[in-house]
Amino acid sequence: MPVPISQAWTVASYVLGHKIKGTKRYPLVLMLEPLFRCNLECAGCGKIQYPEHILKRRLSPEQIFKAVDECGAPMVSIPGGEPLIHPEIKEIVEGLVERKKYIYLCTNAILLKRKLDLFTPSKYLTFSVHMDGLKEEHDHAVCRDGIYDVATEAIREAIKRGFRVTTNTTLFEGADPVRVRAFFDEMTRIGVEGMMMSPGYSYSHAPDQQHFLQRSRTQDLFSKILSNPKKEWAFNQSPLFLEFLMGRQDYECTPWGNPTYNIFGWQKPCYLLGEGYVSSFKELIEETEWDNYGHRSGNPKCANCMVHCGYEATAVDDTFGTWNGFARTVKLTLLGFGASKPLNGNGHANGGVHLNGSRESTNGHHVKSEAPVGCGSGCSHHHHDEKEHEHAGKN
Amino acid sequence: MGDLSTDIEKAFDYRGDITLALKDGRAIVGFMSNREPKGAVRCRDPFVEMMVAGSDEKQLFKYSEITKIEFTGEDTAAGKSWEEWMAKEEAKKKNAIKT
Ligand code: SF4
Ligand code: SF4
Repeated sequence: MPVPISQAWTVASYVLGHKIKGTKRYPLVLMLEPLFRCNLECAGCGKIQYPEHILKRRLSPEQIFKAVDECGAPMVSIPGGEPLIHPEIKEIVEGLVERKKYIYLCTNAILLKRKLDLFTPSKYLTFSVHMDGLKEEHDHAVCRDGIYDVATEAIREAIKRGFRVTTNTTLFEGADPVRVRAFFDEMTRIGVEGMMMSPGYSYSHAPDQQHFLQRSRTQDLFSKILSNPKKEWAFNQSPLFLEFLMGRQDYECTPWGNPTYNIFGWQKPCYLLGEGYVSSFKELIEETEWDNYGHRSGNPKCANCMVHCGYEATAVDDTFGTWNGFARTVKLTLLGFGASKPLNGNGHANGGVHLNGSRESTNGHHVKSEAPVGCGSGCSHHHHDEKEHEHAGKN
Repeated sequence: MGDLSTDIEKAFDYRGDITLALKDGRAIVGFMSNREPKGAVRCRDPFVEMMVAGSDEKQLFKYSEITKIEFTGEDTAAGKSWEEWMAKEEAKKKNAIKT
């Protein structure tokens, strides 16, 4: 089941509007973290490791609406912590629906079945359920037995009641492509609208050679998973981003495409790295030294990163920003990933001309992307702890 | 105490409460949520932001007001990184094979 036409149209016209205006940096998905408290304690999750008085805090609906209005992104992803713990989650969702924002409420689904009555099915609301694989892999990743069964039961119930439901999956080195494909089959059988995935990423002080290997291992893993996709699988992501994960497309990070707002403020520069906080979205855009980030920046923290919150927006921009990007997206949507080719020597599957007539930038800064099919929200429920990483801050 | 700027960076990366000793004699206990070594729009001088238990507002202190930083709260991230978890899992597997 693809993303509704109305959502694809909203995103396409939003991106094109910015293209025509010549906006250099614009947000696509606001990553809204209303609280850090969670009812799970997954291995390595860097979002929940705070003193108790920090875990008690949460953003109020008013703070959230102010941030959403200032940011202007057409999609709002609500990770956490676990957003269903927030006592005003109903008001928050209602306020965002009223603003016609496409919401991806990212949840581990422990509370989903119990809390479904709070919500009304809407094209604007999608539950994006954290699922890291089949039962064995998922329960292992979330460090608690039985959670896979709880989550799949909640997914079935939400679908039965007419809600949009997707899954979000973080894949780590060592993931078994055969098991991941079986997981896609299972989620498809259950009837989710689409699936989202992203490589797990944790920066560490590794020499460059290792960086290279890590990145190529990610590409290898995703190639094995996706190079022969089943036609019934639906991904709630840009096909160009999936190509990027497979190493068939070279993109640079556009972290402003998925700005993050939480109890500390607007997070610089991205959802993964918390290098500082500012009090307005305007300040975030104007004061962040963006050239210091992205895998070509030379910043070791970015060297291996291929996560959706940095690169999916780039892919969406490519789709709507260049004729070639658009054509490739359509081709991939109609013919599948078998239709794509590995990169040529200069790191591009093909060149491109922006829809506004200018040449595609030579440094690989396409811009964000959200595809006519696959307008992923960018939820990710695995947030690796960057604490021990040089200047990586509190994320 | 080392150099103040270095200590502030460490405090910013620390996942527990810290105590700031100020020149006016006050001790501020809380979580350092941010630091701006170059200053920003809301304060042109270098500053830190603290989330103090029991107060909703972030409190701002200039570097020049701070005399000392102590790491007084528990480090909530200690031993909980992905790498440490993976290492523990590996050790568990090895032990299971041995027994
Ligand atoms: S990864 Fe998600 S579900 Fe797991 S502890 Fe972190 S916030 Fe909670
Ligand atoms: S490359 Fe990754 S870590 Fe670096 S800014 Fe982009 S999203 Fe953040």
